[in-house]
Amino acid sequence: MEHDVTQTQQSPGLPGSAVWMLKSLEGEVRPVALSVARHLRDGLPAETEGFEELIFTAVHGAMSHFIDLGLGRAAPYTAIDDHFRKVGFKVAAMGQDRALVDLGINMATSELWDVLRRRAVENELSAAALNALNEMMSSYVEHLAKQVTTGFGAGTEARDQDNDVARARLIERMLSGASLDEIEMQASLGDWTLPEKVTVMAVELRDGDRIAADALSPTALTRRRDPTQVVICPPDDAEAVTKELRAAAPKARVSVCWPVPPEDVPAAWRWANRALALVNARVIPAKPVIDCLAYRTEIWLHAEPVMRRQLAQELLEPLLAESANSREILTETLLVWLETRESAPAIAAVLGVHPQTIRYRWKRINELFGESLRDPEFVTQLLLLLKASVPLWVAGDQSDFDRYQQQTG
Amino acid sequence: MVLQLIILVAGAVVAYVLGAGFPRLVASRVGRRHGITSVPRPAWAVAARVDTVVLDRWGTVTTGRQKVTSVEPLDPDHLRNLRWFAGALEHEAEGRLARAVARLSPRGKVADFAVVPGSGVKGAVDRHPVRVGRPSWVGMTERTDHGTVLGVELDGRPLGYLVVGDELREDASTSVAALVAAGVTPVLVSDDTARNTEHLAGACGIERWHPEIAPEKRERLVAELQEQGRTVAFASSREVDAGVVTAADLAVGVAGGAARDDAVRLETLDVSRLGALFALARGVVAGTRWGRLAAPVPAVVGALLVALGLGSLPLAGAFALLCLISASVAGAVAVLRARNLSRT
Repeated sequence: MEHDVTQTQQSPGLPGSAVWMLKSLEGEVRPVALSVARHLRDGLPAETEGFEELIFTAVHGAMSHFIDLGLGRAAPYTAIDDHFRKVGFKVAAMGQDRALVDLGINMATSELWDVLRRRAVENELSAAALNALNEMMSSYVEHLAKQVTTGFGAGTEARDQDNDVARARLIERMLSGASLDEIEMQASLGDWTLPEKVTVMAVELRDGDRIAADALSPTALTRRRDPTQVVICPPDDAEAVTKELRAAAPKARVSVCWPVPPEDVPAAWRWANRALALVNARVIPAKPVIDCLAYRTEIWLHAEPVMRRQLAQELLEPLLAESANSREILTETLLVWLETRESAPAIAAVLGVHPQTIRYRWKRINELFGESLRDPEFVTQLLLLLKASVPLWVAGDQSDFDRYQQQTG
Repeated sequence: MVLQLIILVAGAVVAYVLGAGFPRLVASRVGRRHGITSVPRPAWAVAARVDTVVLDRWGTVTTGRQKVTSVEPLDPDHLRNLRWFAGALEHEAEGRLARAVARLSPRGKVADFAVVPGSGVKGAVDRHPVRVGRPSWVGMTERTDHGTVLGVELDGRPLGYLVVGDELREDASTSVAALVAAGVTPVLVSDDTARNTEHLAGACGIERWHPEIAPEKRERLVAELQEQGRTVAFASSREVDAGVVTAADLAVGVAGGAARDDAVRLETLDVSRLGALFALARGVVAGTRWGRLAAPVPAVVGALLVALGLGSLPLAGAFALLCLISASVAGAVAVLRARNLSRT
């Protein structure tokens, strides 16, 4: 079927006014194609790096060819079809979905049709002429979509033969929460033995660095995935891979999540990145390698920052009239007491102060919170809240209270 | 016979001369046991004549230290907190008042300590901001208690009051009464307020007192007393009183302290010790007198025996020795009696 349409096509017999309008567009093909290519680059939900030229060439060629066809000129399809097959091939090779190409074609078609329609209004084109133009454009786009499908199929076939591409796709599938069946299939295509559990790491690199896959063991999968670089490996290899990461990028910070089943990789990836964010917020100590398991509570409690802040403002309302220093001291003491339920001397030893200071603080806490401290639900919420928040406040982040005071005046 | 008389006369003369020194020896020995470290020879006679003693507040009727006489938290539950935070902060400060407050608690972790002249001290104890000083400085009402009233503020809130006063010697009033009974009039001079000085004088039974008295005023006070025909002793351990000490008839200072060379030195200026000094001095004077009276008596007896033809050289020697013994015993008994009397 494609063989037929790649031949020189006859003029579609457009009305004269439409032909005249198309002719007037000939000189504007390049700027319009550039605009469309730019909008595709900005609007598509995937990286188009190294791909812009091909998109521009395809759009530019398609517009010129369409005008030639409309003007009844001899216009072979060969070059245009080839461009669009290449686009389909490349998208498949990148491990992206076919839907991305369809989205791109729809965006481009919609923008070009807008251009034609505006021009038609300016030239007072008749409705019949505009309909004819629309039909011609629809059939033309349909033809191009078929070329993309052909290219995408070829690209998919080639991609499945390519280990690196298959592994890149495997990472994408795992991070996007694909089913275990699909992950297993992609793992086998990428020649990667899927363990029962995997370790997910988030590597925070400086100045847009990347760590090449060949810098790590063959059992490790890695790819740049904002905001960090992801590394997935069997749990047994995690230590060795961590050392390799440190050797490849000594200034990088690695957040190592505890082993999870492959279908939980998206969550593990989120946790590992949250741990890095908490390091930057000074909630977690800034070590080169962050063992997420040791900070599981903090990672969990900071999952909902807005809820945490609202809870802080609600539960700790009695403290809002206190100075920042007093708030920090009292909450720190309250947290240790809630965690240990120890005597004043024991808490004093933990905090490095005199036992009488603890008794004083405890009296102040009781004055401020009163009977609430006998409510088990309040105490449980308070413990979790303080566990999450005290490190933030101690690190100097008083935004929870500042925001509340701004709201209440 | 002539030789026997010469021996007797020589014994009497020697006993007369030595008899004057023996009471001083006994008094010095007894005095050391009672904390009277050194008394220059001429000072004994002056001390025996003293009828007025000017007592500096520090170390005489008081121990020289101050103590917290009252701890009054605004909320009774904060009693221990008041003691702890104020005490911990004052460990960083200097002076009698700071030491008195510091004794309320052990040392703590204090940061950002600073002295605010004329107001008090401030700092952070275990990261809690604390201020101790004049009540008005920490936003509290001034009070009129005896002693020094301090306001304590914790975490920006008033916590309570501390009152610091002089630590009176336990036997101050009985010692003062003994002095008065011995004919010595005590006069209290103090660098404290009139109210506090009056209170202190009343507490130990002193009728005459002078508050906030500067060194030059103290000197004038001593001169006035001397003009009234009094023999004035001045007891002080303060260096600023050096001029006053010079003007007084008798200077009494502490061992190792700054005082003039002819000053009597005591271990402390405890008023009971001053009483002992004056009693011993009077004993020395009496002992000297009695010793000199007793010294020739054995010689006279010996001379009578010689005149009756009962004498011999060994007997003359024995009576000469007896002169020395009788002078010594008479002097010693007078000194010891004076000391015993002073205890009553």
